[in-house]
Amino acid sequence: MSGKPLLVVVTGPTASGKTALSISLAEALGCDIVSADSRQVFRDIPIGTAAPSVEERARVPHHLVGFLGLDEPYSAAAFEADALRVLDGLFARRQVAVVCGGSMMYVDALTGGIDDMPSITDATRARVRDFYEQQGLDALLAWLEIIDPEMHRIVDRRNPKRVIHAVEITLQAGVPVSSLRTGQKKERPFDVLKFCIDMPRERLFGRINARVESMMQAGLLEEARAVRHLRHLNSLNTVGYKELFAFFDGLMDLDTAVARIAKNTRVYAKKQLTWLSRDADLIRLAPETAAADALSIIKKFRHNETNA
Amino acid sequence: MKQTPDDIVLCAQFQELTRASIARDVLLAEDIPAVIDNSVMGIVFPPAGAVRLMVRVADRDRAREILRQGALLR
Repeated sequence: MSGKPLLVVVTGPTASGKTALSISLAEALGCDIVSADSRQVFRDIPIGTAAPSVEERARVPHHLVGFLGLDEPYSAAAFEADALRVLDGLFARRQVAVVCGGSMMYVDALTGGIDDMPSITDATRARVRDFYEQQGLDALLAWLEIIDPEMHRIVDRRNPKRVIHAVEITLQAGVPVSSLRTGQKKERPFDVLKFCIDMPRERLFGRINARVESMMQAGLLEEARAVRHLRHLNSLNTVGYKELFAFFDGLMDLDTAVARIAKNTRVYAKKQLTWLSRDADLIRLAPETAAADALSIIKKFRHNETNA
Repeated sequence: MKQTPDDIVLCAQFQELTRASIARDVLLAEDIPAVIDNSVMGIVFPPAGAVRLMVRVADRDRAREILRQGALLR
C-alpha cells in the first residue's frame, strides 16, 4: 500500500462537462475541488471563463478560483506552487481531493511538474510581439535561430505562439530556453487518477455553441464592456473577450463577434483534444455514465492500493 | 568636429549579415532607425570584415541595451 493520498483529476476540452462531473465526484468523495483553469483564477470575468457558479461553490468548496486581479501575472509554475500548497492543507484533513480544469499545462504542472521557466515581463512580451507584428514569423524564427539554435530546430515553426514564447523565455532568462528544459517528471506525495469525458466531436461542438449562447444571455457582453479598459492585459487576450472588444471597436457586428467566439472556442477545444491524445495516463469516460464509472475506478484503485 | 544627436554612428559589428539584419529589425521594431552600412560587402566578401550596424548618436546607448537584452550583443 502506498499510503499516499489520491488526487482525482477531471480534465478535458472546454464544455465537455468537467464542472458537473467534478462536483458529483467531490460530493460522493466528501472532498474539495481545486480548479486548474488558467482564466478562472482571475476575478471579474466569471461569465466568460465559465467559472463555477455561487450555487456550485456552495455545494462543494472550490479553490484557486477568482483570487487574482486581471493585472496580476500568473503562470503554470505559479499554479504548481499554489495548488501544491492548497492540496497540502486538503490532504491533511482528507486523503482525497479533486482537481478540475482544462488548462493542460496547469494539470501537467501539478501532476508531474514542469521545468522552471521565468515569468515574462510585460516589457519583454511587448518587445517580442512588436517585432513579430512588424517583421513576421520568418524574421522571428531567424532571431530564435541566433539565440537558441536547438530550440529553433525542434519548435513548431508554423505556430507563432510557440515561437514567440521561445524567444520571450530566452530573452527573459538570459539563457537559451532549450537549456531550461529538463523533461524530468517530479515525484509527488500523492497518487493521481486522471479522467476525461470522451465526447464525440460533433456533440462537443454543439455544446460549445450552446454554451456561447448561454454566456451571452448571462451577460458576457456587459462583463466584457466593464473590463474593456484593461484589454491590453494578457489576462484578457483570450477567446470571448477579444471578439467582443472587436465589436466595441466597430470592427464587426455583434452576431459576427458571437459566431467568432463559438468558432475560436471550437478551435481551442481541438487543441485541447490534441494535447489529451498524447496523454497515456488518461482514463476516458462515456458521458452518460461518467460519474458512476469514475467512482467505480476510484474505489477499485483504492482497494488495490490497500491490499497491495 | 562635434557630433550632433542626428549623426550616424556605429552601434555594433557582426560577423554575419543574418545576425546584423535581425539586430536591425529588432531596433526598427523599437522605433529606432538603424541601417546596415556595408551589407553588400558583407554578402560578397563575408570574411573580409564585419557587418556594421549604424544608428543615430542619440539612440546608440538605448540601441545597444536593447540588443544586449535581445541576446544579439554581448
